[in-house]
Amino acid sequence: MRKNRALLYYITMSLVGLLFFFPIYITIINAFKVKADIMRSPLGINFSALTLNNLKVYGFSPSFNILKAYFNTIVIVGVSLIGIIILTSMLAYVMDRSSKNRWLKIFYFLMLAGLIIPPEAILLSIVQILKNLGLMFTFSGLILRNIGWYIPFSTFIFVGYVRTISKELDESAFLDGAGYFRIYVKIILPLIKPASASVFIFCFLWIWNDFLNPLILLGDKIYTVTIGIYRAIGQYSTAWDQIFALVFLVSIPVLLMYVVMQKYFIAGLTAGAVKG
Amino acid sequence: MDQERLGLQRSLMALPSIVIYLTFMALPIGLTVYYGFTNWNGVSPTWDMVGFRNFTRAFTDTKFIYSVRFTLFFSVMITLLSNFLGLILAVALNKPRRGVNLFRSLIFIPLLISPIAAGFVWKALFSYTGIVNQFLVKILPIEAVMFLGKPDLAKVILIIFTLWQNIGFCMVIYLAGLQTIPLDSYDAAAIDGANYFQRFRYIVFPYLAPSTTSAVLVMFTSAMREYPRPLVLTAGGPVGQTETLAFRIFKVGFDANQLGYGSALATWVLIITSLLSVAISYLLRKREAFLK
Repeated sequence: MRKNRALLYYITMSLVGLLFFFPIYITIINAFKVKADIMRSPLGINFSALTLNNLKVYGFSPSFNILKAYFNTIVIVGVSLIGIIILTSMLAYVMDRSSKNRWLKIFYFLMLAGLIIPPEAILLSIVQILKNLGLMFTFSGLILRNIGWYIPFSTFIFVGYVRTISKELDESAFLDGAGYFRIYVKIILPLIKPASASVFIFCFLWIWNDFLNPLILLGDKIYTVTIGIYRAIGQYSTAWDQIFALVFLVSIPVLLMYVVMQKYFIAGLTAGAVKG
Repeated sequence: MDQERLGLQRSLMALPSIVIYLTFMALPIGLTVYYGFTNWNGVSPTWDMVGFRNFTRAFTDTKFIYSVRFTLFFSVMITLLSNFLGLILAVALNKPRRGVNLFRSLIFIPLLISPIAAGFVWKALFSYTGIVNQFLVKILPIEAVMFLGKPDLAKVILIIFTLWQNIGFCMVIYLAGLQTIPLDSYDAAAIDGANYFQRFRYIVFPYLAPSTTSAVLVMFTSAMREYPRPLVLTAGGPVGQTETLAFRIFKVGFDANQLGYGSALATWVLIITSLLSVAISYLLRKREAFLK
């Protein structure tokens, strides 16, 4: 009885797992097959006929260069992340330790609005603001928008975490003559690493995979991985060999990061959620 | 009100975030509402105020009304199904058995892939000349199916595709919630003779309230802003049947050069989404009261 139940459990879960993995399996194996093989047997692997040619041809074409796409995306994700983490952790520290300040209280409520509004609702206006600042079609424009967009989310995660750090710790440092900025750098910053990991993982995924904002704010000249693949393939293509090769190239950095950071990933994703 | 002065150092630390937020979030929200009252096309140097005309025009805009209905339908389906299935999988994969980590990873990994890239794969699977059809034609005596050419089928495929990427998120949130359940009350109930479903209904499910709030809100708000998946999978078709709110706003605001009217539509979307999110979060947070 018990054995049968265990068997049933593993059969069910394996089927579920296979179902979830199926589209990824299809992508990985077909990225290395010639078009005729994809059409003949999309699921099978003929090891002697595998080829790197698709990755080479489609990953380095005149209209789409995967290394350029990686580079642009990493710059945007990297600078946005550094900005988000440093600026909002400072703000969170000041907010939690100076909770009686009227202006900070008002700002806190303003930020709540930022958590629920849909990005497409303000994009038309962001374009106008960036035009006026001369930042339309630049990296800086998109990066500033990213930082602004994630300030509420990130600040709330950091405030929740700073609250758990004993006030006596920074008060005694204050009595020893350390300024607020010194206390933030020397005491707070090292202690909020788990919250930084959460913010890092979430924002990394969201900004890396973002499509709408780079599509409109970067224009035709600069492309990220998602914009690049969208333009290279086009809406009506049935060139399956190109599709699988490019999806493979675009997804592999994130998948590798997941494999390397697996433990932090799940912990980071859930840290903010349970406390609410 | 008691006012606490911040002084130079703390002001300088708080200021950059505040300035960036005001410029790139608060100001655009205000501008969107303002543009909604104008007839601006987005390019010309001048524009006129036209009162509420744009806002009322939305009520007779059948394409906009359709996209509101479709996006709400889509969001409700995604929110309910991904939470239900994510919860079941979290319960099934909660106990540390052999292989559990592998199953969790398999379910979680689709979340990592960009919706644009994943969209192309799902198109390769379900388009008329795609992989599923080749397979069907080979083993069954039927013609290839127009999965993405028929409105109802296209909606079903779009929902399954979105669930495939979202269930893993809900599962992880519920897995974390399951760790917070105090084992003694669970065991005590078991000793008192409560069966598995009673224990789930009266102990596990109430304790998961904070996870439910997070997962439901994230699923709902992200579905309300859906754009890349229908863009790649169906391009909003067939005949506009999978056009979400984001589609409408951009078609009007950018493609048709009606920035004023597009902003009015965006303002409606802002109002609808905010009200619904606040209502959902209010209702769900009531369930959390007993934990405090």
